[in-house]
Amino acid sequence: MASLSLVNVCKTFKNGQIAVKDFNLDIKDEEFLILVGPSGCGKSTTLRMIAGLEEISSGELWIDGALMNLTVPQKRDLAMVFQSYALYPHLTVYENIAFSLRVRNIPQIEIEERVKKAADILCIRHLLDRKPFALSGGQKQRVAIGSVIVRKPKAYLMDEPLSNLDAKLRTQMRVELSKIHKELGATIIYVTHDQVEAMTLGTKIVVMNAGVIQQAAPPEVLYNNPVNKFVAGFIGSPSMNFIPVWVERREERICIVFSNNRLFLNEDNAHCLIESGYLGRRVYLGIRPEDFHETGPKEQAIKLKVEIKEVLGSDILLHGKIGGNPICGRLKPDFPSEAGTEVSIFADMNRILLFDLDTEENILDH
Amino acid sequence: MESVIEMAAKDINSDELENFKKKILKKALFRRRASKLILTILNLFVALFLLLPLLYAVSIAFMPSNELFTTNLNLIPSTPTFNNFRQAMAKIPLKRFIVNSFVVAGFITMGQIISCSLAAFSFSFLDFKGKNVLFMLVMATMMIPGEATIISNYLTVSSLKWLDTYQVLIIPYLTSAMGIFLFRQFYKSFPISLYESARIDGCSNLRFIYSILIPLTKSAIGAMAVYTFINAWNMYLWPLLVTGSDKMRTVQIGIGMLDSVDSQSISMMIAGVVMIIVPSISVFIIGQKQLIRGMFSGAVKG
Repeated sequence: MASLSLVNVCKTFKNGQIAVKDFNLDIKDEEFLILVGPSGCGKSTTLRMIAGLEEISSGELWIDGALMNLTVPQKRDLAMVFQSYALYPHLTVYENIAFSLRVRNIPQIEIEERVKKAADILCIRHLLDRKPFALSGGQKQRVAIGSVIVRKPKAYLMDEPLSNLDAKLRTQMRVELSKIHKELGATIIYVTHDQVEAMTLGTKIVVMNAGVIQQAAPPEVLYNNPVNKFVAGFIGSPSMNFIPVWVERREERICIVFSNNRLFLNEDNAHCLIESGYLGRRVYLGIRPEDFHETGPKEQAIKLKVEIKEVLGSDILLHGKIGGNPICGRLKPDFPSEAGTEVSIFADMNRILLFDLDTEENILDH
Repeated sequence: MESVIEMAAKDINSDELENFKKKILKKALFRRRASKLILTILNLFVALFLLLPLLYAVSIAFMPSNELFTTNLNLIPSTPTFNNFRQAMAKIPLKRFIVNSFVVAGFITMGQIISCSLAAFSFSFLDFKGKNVLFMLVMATMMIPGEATIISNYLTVSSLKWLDTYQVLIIPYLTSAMGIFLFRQFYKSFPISLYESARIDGCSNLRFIYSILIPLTKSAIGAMAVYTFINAWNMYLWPLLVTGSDKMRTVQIGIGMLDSVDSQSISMMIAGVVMIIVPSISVFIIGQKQLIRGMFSGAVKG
């Protein structure tokens, strides 16, 4: 396996559209790196530049200490799983998996051994004689993964490999990909727009927006300490609630005030706000749906008129509005609430985040 | 919850219901069979109507001349004979012409498939400067009628001393803009991810062509082969111009030679025509599945 470095990588298409801007990233050996972001943010383009399928407009790509900008895809020794699986329809599963080995003139005995080993890892040994049209979506996906793990390349590139699967199969394949990563000790670069996939699979996640890296960090850091409002809103499902609030001093304490609600900040956060000069200014309050509770101190209560109640079984989601801002709270299923009623929910003030109104950067960067 | 049918069926007893169901099914089956029968008869009638000239030609080929030139309508020969075929074979070296046509059409077909598919591959899969301009240039050649260039082509091949040879019949037709266009259209519907995947797997362009692209575009190749072979088989003006001896003539010219002012025999000429259309019809029958599949590939989502 290998380590990769992208230095000031940019991609500008022929029509002048900038897809990736100043991309700087080091990918360590055996890392499971996830590129995540909304559609059109440049994550697939970045992956394709690493694979050599797109030319790098400027910047450098280093793989294992060698500059790879002008190296053809065949010679980069990478393997890629495509969103559409890219299985050769006229070849059997065995031949599909063995194809890249045959191209490299590896002896037949070794090919057979490696194909069978890959098939065993993915539990597809019984499918080796079938053609792709006779496989289900999940089986096709396994074959696609099989045809890359059989090769032992420097790194595996995966472009939304699970997006064509149904929810149940996706969860199952997520677990299997995790296992494969551990078993092979592979360097994997994985593109997805699904933040659940990103959080569960990645050892490091790169959140991208409009071709720019917003934050590159382990999943728990992204969740607990996002650098800006975009990352905070993108990571987590349902996404974080944002409310513009005033920072004020009341009863000798620092609080945030919005639409007849007043929440007192804890000492650390209050100190941070005063030091940064936010007293008397407007900021965004960010609070995750799961950071609302059914009970708590009165000073942490927020009144919410429930518009829609979604029952998930283990939880309920209450949707409403505060001062025109949509709010969602995840609460226990026995919490008494009905659509149309007003309920009091309690914000966990140790978990809130505050963002600058203009730069949208995290003020409480812990 | 009871369905609407269950609720309606409550008022009828089970025997009546069974009879009712049987009656409806019988009626539906009769209607389906009747419409199928009508369609088959209609198809047969139309097919017979369309094939009538061809069938009549075959019939004439087996008909003695005295049966043909009567006031009666003789659709089928009363005394079928092979005489017309024998006469045609004796009058011109038809065997040689057929061999020539096969050689010429075969080489042209192979040449066009190789050159057009390679050119179309570069226009569809490779990225190079001036690709679109070059493709437009190739397409522009389709607007120039063959007759407009035939004299200059003749002068060129005669200065090369190629007249009355196989290469003069084959080489000018080794590629065609139409073929490049057709292959490019087929390749446009080919998933690009397969090409990208093959490249990452370490596959060269040539290996991709013979191990992935060709097996997956068999129908396109089949369609192109049938189309090119029939066109090459039916070539008339160019072979007439550049060949002079019986050794190099093709069948279409040969047929013209069957018609003579002194002793015209319609039935012998038709026998010759029947003999030379057999190969092209056979090619069509063998390749018709591929031709139709190729013509419509990419028309609907697979």
